[in-house]
Amino acid sequence: MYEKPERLGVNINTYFASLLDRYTTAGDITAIIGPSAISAEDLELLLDFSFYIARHRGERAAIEFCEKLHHHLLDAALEIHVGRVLMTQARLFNQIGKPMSRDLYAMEAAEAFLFFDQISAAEQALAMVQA
Amino acid sequence: MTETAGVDATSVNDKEAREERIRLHHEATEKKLAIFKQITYAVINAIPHEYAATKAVFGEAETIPSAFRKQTIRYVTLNDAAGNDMYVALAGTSGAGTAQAAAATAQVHVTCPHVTKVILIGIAAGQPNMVDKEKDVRLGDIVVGDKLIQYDHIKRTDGIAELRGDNIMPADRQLMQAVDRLRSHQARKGSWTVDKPWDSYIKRGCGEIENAARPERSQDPKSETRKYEKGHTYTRSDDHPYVHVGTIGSANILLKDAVFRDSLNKNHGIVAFEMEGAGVAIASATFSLGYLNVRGICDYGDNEKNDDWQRYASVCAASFARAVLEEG
Repeated sequence: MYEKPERLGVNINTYFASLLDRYTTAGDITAIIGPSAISAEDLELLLDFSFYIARHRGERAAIEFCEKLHHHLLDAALEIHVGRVLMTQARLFNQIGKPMSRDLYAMEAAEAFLFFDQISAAEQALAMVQA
Repeated sequence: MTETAGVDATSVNDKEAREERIRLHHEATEKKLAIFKQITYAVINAIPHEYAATKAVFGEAETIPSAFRKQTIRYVTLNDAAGNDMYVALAGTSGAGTAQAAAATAQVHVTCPHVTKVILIGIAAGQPNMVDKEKDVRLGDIVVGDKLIQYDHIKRTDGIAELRGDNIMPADRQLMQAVDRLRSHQARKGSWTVDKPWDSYIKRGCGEIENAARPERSQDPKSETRKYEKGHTYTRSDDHPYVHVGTIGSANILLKDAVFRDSLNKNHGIVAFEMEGAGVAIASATFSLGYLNVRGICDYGDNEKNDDWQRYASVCAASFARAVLEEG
């Protein structure tokens, strides 16, 4: 089960299950993201969804989902959000014991945060880099 | 008085925030440097099945991320001779051609600024020699270029061509020393019966890539026409790759011309012919990188050319290149 239903509501696992079903069937992230611009709250939900994918399909599937999400954000000129996606990937790589990738993604996240003056997030990202 | 104090407090806060940003930028730069200093080698492939062979032989590849670009460069983790992790950037496919290969080398240099050596892995046409066993480069063999000639860089005056592409930087000395140490395995009696450092990688690559198994000897169009008069003291297997070192010819020419090929061999000693090495070599010289050109032989650059040996040759080249990297 999803770890944070108390924050997102008791039906969140059902919602994520249906989201995963749609995403898996389509094999494309646009199947679960509407045409309107992604807000910070939408992104938060999608990143929570990536951890749901990690639990049900494995971290590799979640990392791939995040990469698609990252590319989608670039296509939609929403660069301001990419740091959070990269940070999620860094955490997923950390979970599977890939320190080089953890450092690379956390580093890139830190630079993205710094670019948009998100100082506190940048500090957290840099703290994750062990190199 | 109160207003002035408020302005002072704001400017102090602004100054602190600015200093904090500067400190974080410095920390980010230092950490980025520390990460990228670990990636000192890069591999370049031209076409998809060369890249597929490299991925099969080198193992799981991870993306090197870029926040604001869709990144195509990946890295793999190998072990050096001392058993330490060694990170190798994979540039992906450049497309056939010397300019494309030069662009790929430049891209690697920009993305991974601490890469000091680049290995170009791919397929090539070999120079057959029907009379001298030692000089016969066969299908499935591996050629490592110690010298490189760009044979389409010429000055043409009233029908007379003068080669200008013969001043290209040679292969990296340190990597060539590793090649020589590996080649010494071939000097052993019955060396083809003993596993050499690249043999297990060839097995792995052939197991993972579709239609990459070594073709039958009968699928070598020269197999029945070899009548060696020289080099009889030199022994090799008919069914295993042999590693040659020699001059590689590079040009934006898909070679299917035995007469032209033989003239290049006679005039310049070229033993393998391909389409990317000159680009990598020139770009490497520009960025002060060392390079090595490792080629699996898939045809003879003549009218009998076909694609039957391309996948096996790709696997052989990738396997030997991995052995070179691990040999250091």
